[in-house]
Amino acid sequence: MSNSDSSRERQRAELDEELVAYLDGELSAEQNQLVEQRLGSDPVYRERLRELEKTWDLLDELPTGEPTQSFTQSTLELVLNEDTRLQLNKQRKPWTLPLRVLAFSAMPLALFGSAFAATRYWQNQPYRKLLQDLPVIENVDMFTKVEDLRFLELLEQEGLFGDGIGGLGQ
Amino acid sequence: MLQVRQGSAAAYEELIAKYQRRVIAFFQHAVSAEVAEDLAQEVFLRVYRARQSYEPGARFATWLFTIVHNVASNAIRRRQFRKEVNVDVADSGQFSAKPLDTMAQAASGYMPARRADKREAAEMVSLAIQSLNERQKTAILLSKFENMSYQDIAETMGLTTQAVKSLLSRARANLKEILEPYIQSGLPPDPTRRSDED
Repeated sequence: MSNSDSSRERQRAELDEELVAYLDGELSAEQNQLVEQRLGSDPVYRERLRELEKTWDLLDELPTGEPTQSFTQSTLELVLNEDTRLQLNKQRKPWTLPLRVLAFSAMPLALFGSAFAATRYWQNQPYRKLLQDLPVIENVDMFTKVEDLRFLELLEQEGLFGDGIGGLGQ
Repeated sequence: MLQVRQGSAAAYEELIAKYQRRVIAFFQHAVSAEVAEDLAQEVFLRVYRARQSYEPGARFATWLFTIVHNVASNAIRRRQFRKEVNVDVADSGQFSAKPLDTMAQAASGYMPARRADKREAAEMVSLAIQSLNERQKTAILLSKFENMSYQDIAETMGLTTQAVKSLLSRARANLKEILEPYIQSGLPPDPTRRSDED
């Protein structure tokens, strides 16, 4: 399309927009007056308005929606069925909604708790090993004097160390 | 609508009785006569479900036709999808109009040798409307049959007022072009004369 064609198209579109808005009563009083002045002096403009108006009037020929006799009744039944179904659901599980709300509210708390526990576990990991070996550490002087580990294990099995020293062979 | 909101069945029945023709007519022209009642029922069901969200003071027709517009758009998309699945046709876009050859065939079948009578005129206009794209069709129907202002159409269709102004202007110019052969000499409407621009 050449420049002059597209310019003509644009002009035609602007003209149509103005005329359609005029027909639809969407122009201001001032714009209305301008359109009417031009209609009085420009036969092409007037002809375009007549064409648009004629096409618009043809739409009156379209059939109006004629519902079947049972339309209202069947629509009401549809709504009633849905209402009944909803009521039944509510009666069957009256606790469902509060429970859902509760579960939903508790979810962040549970997440926070799990995250806190995991972090604590991870942070205490080095100390846990130390605590486990504490009885050995406390008696390290005594153990260094014993050369045979098997002998110590036998003594522990006999219960000679009591509760204070455990964990040998673990 | 306020009484419907409070759960009055009688008010709801009255509301259906008041708007059913308009809603069915909209679907007849925007989608098809075969599914118009089913879609209208879907609308009234949605109205009932959404009754609590209706804001007192809002214009009811605008609220109702926003639902109508959504239901129509979904139905057109479903039909379009089925058509694309069933028939291997050239890509004509989401909001495209009825295939032109179908229209021309349908129209020629109805044309008498001489002057068309009122029923045939309705058929011609209906074919012309069907050949518009979805947005143009919706804007035309809301403007013509619901007497909606550009502001209300914009609200219903989720557009700006200026966009509606341009849309309606192009839609009416398209209709004029398509119906020109019929107006001039009683020939079937010619959808090839329309501009696909939205």
